[in-house]
Amino acid sequence: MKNSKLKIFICSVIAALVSLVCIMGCAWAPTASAEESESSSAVAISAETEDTDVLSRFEYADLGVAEGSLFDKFSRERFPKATIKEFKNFADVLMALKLGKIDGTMLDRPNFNAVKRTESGLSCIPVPGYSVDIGFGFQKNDEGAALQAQMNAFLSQLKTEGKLDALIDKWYGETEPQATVPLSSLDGAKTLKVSIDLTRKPFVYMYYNEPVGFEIEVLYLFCKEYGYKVVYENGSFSTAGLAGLASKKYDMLCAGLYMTDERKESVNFSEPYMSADVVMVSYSGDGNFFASFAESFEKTFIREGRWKLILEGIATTLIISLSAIVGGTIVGFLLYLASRSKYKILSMIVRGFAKVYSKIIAGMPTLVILMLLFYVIFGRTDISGLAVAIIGFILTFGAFVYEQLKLTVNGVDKGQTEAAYALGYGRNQTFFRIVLPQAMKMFAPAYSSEIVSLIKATSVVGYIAVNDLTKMGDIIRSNTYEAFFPLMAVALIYFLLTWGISALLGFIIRKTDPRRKEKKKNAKKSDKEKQGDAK
Amino acid sequence: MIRIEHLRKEYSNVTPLKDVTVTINDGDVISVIGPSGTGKSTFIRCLNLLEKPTSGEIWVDDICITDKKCNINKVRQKMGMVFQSFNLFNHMTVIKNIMAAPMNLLKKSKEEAYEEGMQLLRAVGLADKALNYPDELSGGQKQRVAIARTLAMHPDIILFDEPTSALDPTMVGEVQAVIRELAGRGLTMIIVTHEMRFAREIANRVFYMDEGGIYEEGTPEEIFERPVREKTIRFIKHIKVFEVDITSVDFDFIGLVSGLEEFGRRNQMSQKAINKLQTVFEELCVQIILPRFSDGFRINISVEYSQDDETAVMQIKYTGEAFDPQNSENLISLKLVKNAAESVVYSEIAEEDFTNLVTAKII
Repeated sequence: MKNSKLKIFICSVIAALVSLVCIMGCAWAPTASAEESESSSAVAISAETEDTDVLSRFEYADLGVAEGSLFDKFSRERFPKATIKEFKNFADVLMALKLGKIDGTMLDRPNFNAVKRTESGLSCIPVPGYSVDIGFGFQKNDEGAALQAQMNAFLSQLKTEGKLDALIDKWYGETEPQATVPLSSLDGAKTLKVSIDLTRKPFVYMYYNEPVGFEIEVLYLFCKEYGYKVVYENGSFSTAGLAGLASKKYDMLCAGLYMTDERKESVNFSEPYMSADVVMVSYSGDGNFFASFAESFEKTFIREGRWKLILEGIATTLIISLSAIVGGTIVGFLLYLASRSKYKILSMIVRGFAKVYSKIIAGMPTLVILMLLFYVIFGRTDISGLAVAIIGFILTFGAFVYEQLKLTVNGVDKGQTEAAYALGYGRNQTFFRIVLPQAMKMFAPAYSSEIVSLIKATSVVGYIAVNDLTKMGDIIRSNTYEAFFPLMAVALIYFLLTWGISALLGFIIRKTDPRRKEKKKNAKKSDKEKQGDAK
Repeated sequence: MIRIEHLRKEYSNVTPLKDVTVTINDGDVISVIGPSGTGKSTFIRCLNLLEKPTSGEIWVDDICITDKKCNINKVRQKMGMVFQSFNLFNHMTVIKNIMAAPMNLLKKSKEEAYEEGMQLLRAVGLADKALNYPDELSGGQKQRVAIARTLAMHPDIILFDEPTSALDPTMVGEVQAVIRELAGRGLTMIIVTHEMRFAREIANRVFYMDEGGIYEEGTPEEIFERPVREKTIRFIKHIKVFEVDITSVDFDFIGLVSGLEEFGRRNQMSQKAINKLQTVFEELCVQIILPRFSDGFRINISVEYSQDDETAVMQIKYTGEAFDPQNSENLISLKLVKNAAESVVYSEIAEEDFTNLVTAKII
């Protein structure tokens, strides 16, 4: 018995290792092939050049753009015949570039400069006739306009004092500034709710797990000058930031935001603190993967204590999942108990409500529910994204528990209830002692698989400015421009979490089912008997 | 004592009970018989309010259980019920099934409940199955456990709702034996059953139900031997006599054979006797007599079972010229008939348009 289990375990470990190696192989392969094609490829540029002919080589290329950035529009305009591929953020674009999935990407020059500080093998060609204005975003109302005016005054003050250029040099220069911004030390009277996008290096990014960047420093100086204290939430500007600004959840948006006419309709922009050229970036990598393997591990986990981010992410994911499991189970159970109350009016109301509630929840993607809760229902309140995520998942899990209870309780033969009644059991005793235990048998497996789904489903909370495991992986990736380790680590951790929890639940189910225990005993007995016979 | 006054039960589409007024005395053992769909089960399910009567009153001793203020759970503890589908608690072992109610409801200690439970199991012959789960038992065993479970609450009254209808014929006997044993203890029992011999033997009163009520009641002798009212007479005759006409070569053979089987079971003939009956019908009637006709004929088959000497007599009357099947050339069929039947007698008759009569006796 033990032996065979051990064998199965060893086999599965070997299988897991083999598949891991395969995945890694796949991850390396594109790098190698990209490197090969680099030498002969038309788009390989060895040095920065003003030659517009070189630009024409991108006419039919695959171009990457980050979601919600202006470069989508620019790329389509300038290279109408190119294939445009959209990515979540610039870090993903860069990763795709390095893997040879795209041939080039448009970028503003300060951003390019910052990226080039840490990434080798990148080169750029200016794209004449294109430039972007970058600034801070505020609400499109009187309050936003007031803040906008303050910021404009502050920016021009910085400019006249010559501090602005110094800051630009500091954050967009050749070397990476080893500096932090003491945002949390601000203690002004008024509170400024700010949405920051940590994937926007060098405007806003993370250094030793604290937000830094040009905009963060300007924000700090601004708040100090005008007596604000800052409460910030990290979220993608294209999903969380702009929507949060529109729903008045945030007062201000720091995300290296490009000003477009379309955005100006819903956002009050500060004066642009910078108007940047646009360049076309391409890659000719050194291809020394094994040398970079150790380095990228160090970069992903060790440097700046980034492992702490992963731990934080795990904690957040677990908090959301466990709260949703406990809360949802309680909500579902209470709802079900109320729906079978002996007070007819109460039970009818509850049943009607629960029907509508579970239909609505079941008919919508969890992400949409979360966004609705965050930007619409709780849009004007100060409630944190984490709390909204917990509420959202309690609602969805509660709906599941209610429906599943209804299903499994109805699945118990009516005769069981009648037999209990005939013996003299009351309504509640019949339910709790006779019906529920039998329903639980059918309920448990569905419940445990739903928990696994729930844990995986929590990976969307990044959309409502919650830094869960997935989001932390994103943040690390956008700071390190490394794909392999953050993704592998996140994938592995999710796998371990779900595996561990389902194993735990399976164990509990087995332990609480007296029948299986006895079966096992009997099986052992008969095994022994068989062995005895064989002898 | 149970007093039932003007009990009425309506569903949206049917009214199985129109107006039932009857008194059941302590120690009565009552068989409730009647055609299906005449409210027999509804009637006894109303007695412990598993079905809510539409109107009328039911008094158990001095308690009016149809009164809204009545605590029916307390009454049910003293009024057990045995179901057609057993309804053992599937998530509990046999012994736990029996211990559960005394522990939960009578607050007996675990030891006491266990002792008593084992005693009951021994009484129904299933002590060695105490630790098994219901789905590991046969139907007959399940029903015996269900009876033991009911007895564990020390009821004064037990309602049996077709306790043997869901059982294999081979298991009917074991369950009936247990119920018979109970009848001797002075418990009040009300038994809905289709097993007529059982109904007759066990009861001191028989309710024949029809037309939405108790159509006729009396002692077993009165109901089974001297029924007075028309429908009872027809029902009892139908139980005792199986009769069918064949007028086409394409008659419903399968229906007829299973009709014979049902008849045999209703009268509690042994499976062997039922098989013999079917053999005689198939070989004599279908293989020997029927091939002689093509159309414009009539064969009348009647079977009567006598409980006293446990014999069934099959009479086959048919039209056409005189023919003694024993002179048939189908020797194989003839041999099978001879093996199955105790005796086969042929005679010529002149009754309606029948001219031939074969009488076969089967033990």
